[in-house]
Amino acid sequence: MAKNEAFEWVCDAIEGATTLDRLEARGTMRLALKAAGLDAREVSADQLGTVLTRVLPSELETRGIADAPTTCERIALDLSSQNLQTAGSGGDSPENVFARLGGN
Amino acid sequence: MEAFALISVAVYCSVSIYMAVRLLALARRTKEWPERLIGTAYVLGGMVGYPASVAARVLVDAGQTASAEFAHVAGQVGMAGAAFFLLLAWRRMFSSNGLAGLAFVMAWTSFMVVALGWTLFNTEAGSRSHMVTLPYWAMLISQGGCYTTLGWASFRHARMLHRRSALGLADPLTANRMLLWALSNLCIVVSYVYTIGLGIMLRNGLPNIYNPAVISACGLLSAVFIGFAFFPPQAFVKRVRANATMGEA
Repeated sequence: MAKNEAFEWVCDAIEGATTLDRLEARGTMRLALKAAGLDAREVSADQLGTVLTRVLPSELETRGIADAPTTCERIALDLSSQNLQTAGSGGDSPENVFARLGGN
Repeated sequence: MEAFALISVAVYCSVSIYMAVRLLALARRTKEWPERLIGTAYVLGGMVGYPASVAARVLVDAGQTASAEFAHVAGQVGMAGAAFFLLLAWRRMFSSNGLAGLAFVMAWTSFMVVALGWTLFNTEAGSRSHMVTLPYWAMLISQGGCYTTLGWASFRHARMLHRRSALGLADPLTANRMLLWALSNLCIVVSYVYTIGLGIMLRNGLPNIYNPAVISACGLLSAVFIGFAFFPPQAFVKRVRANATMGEA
């Protein structure tokens, strides 16, 4: 399965902007995604932006990272200027199927 | 009690047929597989499997052995077919690991085919005594497993969608509809568990606690949940949207 470039980019950015090592950064990001109901393989850059601003700061704070909200805001801003590939969930994702089956 | 059972069967079959027609009509327009697979499953389950299974029991009680056997075979083939198409829908919609998902579908389908053949050729088809035989249990487990897989995946995804909708990343209506579909699958799983449990009790000489109302209630509830999940009424849509807006405020 192809890597999700946006997710990889964010993990690298967290590792570079904090004292977390690679494994810790990826683990923290995965926990944040889980709390947001998202999957690392399919998450889009827009969704990552929301997770960065609304979920990740508290995750970083619990790991003793100072000024986590500002760090996350900066990473989110940088992410929005990138043109990254995401795997995407495609037309067969359950939410797309249910949207088509709306019937209204 | 018999009236309740009949009404439940009628409602389940009517809802299944209605869903099947709408889903297959949608599949013709969109050319997408999930609606085609789920629609076909409801055709086989609601138009063939479930009514034929009920008819087989009625015919056995009426002493129509030959007709009961035919209805029994049609019923079991229909139910197995429905379970198979729902398993394919699970693979298409929920399985994120392509190869492992495919291997699981192939292995489970093989089990289902073997269990179905074992039941149809080695038990007294349509009679009450076949309920305590191993092939019949294997068949029920193979079919119930498909609904359990789909139910578990849809519950899990409903929880994910609720988390997303709290952050504004998903439509709260879709999250609710996914939960309703999960509940409809849970009702079917309960009916399978009840039947398998009953078979185990009978085989061990325990009292027969068979109550058609349990299966009927499961079918009725499942039909209501399916209806709300796939084609929700406007009043329900407005209510969910209003609740979501209140939650955001």
